[in-house]
Amino acid sequence: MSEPAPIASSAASPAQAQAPAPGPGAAAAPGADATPLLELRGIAAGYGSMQVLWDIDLSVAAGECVVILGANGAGKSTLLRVALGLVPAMQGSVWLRGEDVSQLRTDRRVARGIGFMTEVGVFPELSVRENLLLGAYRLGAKQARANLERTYAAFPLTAQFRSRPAGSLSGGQRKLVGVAKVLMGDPSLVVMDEPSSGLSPVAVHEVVEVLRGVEQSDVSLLIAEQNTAFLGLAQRAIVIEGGHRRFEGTVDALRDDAALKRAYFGIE
Amino acid sequence: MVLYALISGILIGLFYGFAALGLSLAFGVLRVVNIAHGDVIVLGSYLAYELSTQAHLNPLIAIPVAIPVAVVIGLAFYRLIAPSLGRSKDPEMLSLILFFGVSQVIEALATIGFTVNQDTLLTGPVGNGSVQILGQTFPNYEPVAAAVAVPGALLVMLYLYRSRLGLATRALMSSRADALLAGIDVGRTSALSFGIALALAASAGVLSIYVNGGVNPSQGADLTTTAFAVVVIGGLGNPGGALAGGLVFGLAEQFAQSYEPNWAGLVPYALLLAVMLAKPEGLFGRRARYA
Ligand SMILES: Nc1ncnc2c1ncn2[C@@H]1O[C@H](COP(=O)(O)OP(=O)(O)OP(=O)(O)O)[C@@H](O)[C@H]1O
Ligand SMILES: [Mg+2]
Repeated sequence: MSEPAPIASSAASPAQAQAPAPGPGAAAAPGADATPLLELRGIAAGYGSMQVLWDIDLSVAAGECVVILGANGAGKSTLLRVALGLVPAMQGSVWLRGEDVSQLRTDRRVARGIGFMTEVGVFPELSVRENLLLGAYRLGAKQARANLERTYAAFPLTAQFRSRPAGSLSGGQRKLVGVAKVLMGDPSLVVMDEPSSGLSPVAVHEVVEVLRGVEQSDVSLLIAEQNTAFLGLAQRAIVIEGGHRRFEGTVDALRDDAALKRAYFGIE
Repeated sequence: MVLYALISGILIGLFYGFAALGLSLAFGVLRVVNIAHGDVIVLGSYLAYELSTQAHLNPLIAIPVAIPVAVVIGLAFYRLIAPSLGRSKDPEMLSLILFFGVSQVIEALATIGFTVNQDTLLTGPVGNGSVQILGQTFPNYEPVAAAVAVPGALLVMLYLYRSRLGLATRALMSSRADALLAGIDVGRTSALSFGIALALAASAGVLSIYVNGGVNPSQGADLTTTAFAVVVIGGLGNPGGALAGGLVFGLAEQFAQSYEPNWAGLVPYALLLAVMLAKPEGLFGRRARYA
């Protein structure tokens, strides 16, 4: 109950935001300036006795956007679930700002400023307003109401449909409500599982544009995707294939890797 | 006769809805049917019986006595079973078996304590007088049952739909993982809901000893069945639906009793099957869960 107060996005220090992204395999010493916001070290995970991830390293620096690419069943969602504590790691550890949170319950990790948007993204039975309030649940009733006004202004759609069940909105509208909901919690890191799933190209574009705004507000992003449209937001990417990390590096390096592009995305 | 069946159906139906509300709440949060729900109702009936016959108090006093006891037992019991459920590969099956065991234990204990005989209270909750409503005469327990059920259910609805903890509870009913991700303490919220569910069952038991003409240790299974039918008619996992389902069930039963008494026991269940075939999500249920 008495966890240290979470650090809201507004508190993310500019010094951290401008820190250079750590190079591959850089296990920054805790407390150093380059301490990543989120770091996964040597993660192995699975369901029951079936292992689906092997030795995955990943880090997200403050202010950075990292995309996880991979085909269906590659293990992207599983990796995100491990980061949030929804699936236990068989091996490896999860670090938040230099603190080992591997043994911490999901709600406690959330309390430290990670927001997670699942593929569904919203509570479909609950109204848009209730969804938004739940996004800020950890902040308490007063802060939640204050953030609600801010969100209605930033996402007019949420004000317009505030009383509608979130499940009655279109796929694209639902994703935008999902983004608005996760931002309600003033996270310093937003983790998203396939924000593009089920969206038309136009709606994907709209979500990407909204996320561009989020990125500019110094919120870090970790996005699992198959859709390469999200690469435009990212500084770095990792590619997972069959549960193994096949690539880690800058987005430019990924774009230059023609073989990789052909193999995983069928794009020339 | 129409008017009598209508009023009686509404009064008894309100009781049915109230008696099923806890089952609906426990199902919504735990995703399992609490088979012991009816046995907790039976315990509520026995508490009323003892208070009345041994302590010579008004049996309705059993309600404020039962509520805190049931909440505490519910909290403790949830904390007891949660670790095993968390570790289980099939928590639904495990909790079904657990609740079945609890139901058998309560029935056995009640038999030891009170024998298999039916116990009845000879005096109504407010004396033996009858009550006139729109020119029809009813035993006083019918309006009393409704007068307890309505504010009781209203309080639960206020909790669920107007409080912060209630919002967390409904989020949990929608998706446990997403509730965790909202930073909700899922364990505490579940435990509290289960405690409230038991308190509702025990309170309904205090009324049940009148409405069902007495109490006996093996009544629990029937009461669970009735509550389950009410919840399914109204829509699983939707507490408001349980109340509406209770009204439908009560009206069906009372109309059948007025016109075809031999068929009265069958009609509500025939209705249940009809509802399942025509509208599987229940008369007042929302659409099936997404994703
Ligand atoms: N709840 C689960 N129980 C058992 N196995 C699972 C579960 N979820 C995923 N898996 C398995 O784990 C592997 C990785 O799945 P995961 O959902 O992480 O992939 P993904 O990259 O997110 O795929 P997609 O792009 O289709 O969402 C798959 O083989 C899948 O079958
Ligand atoms: Mg996935």
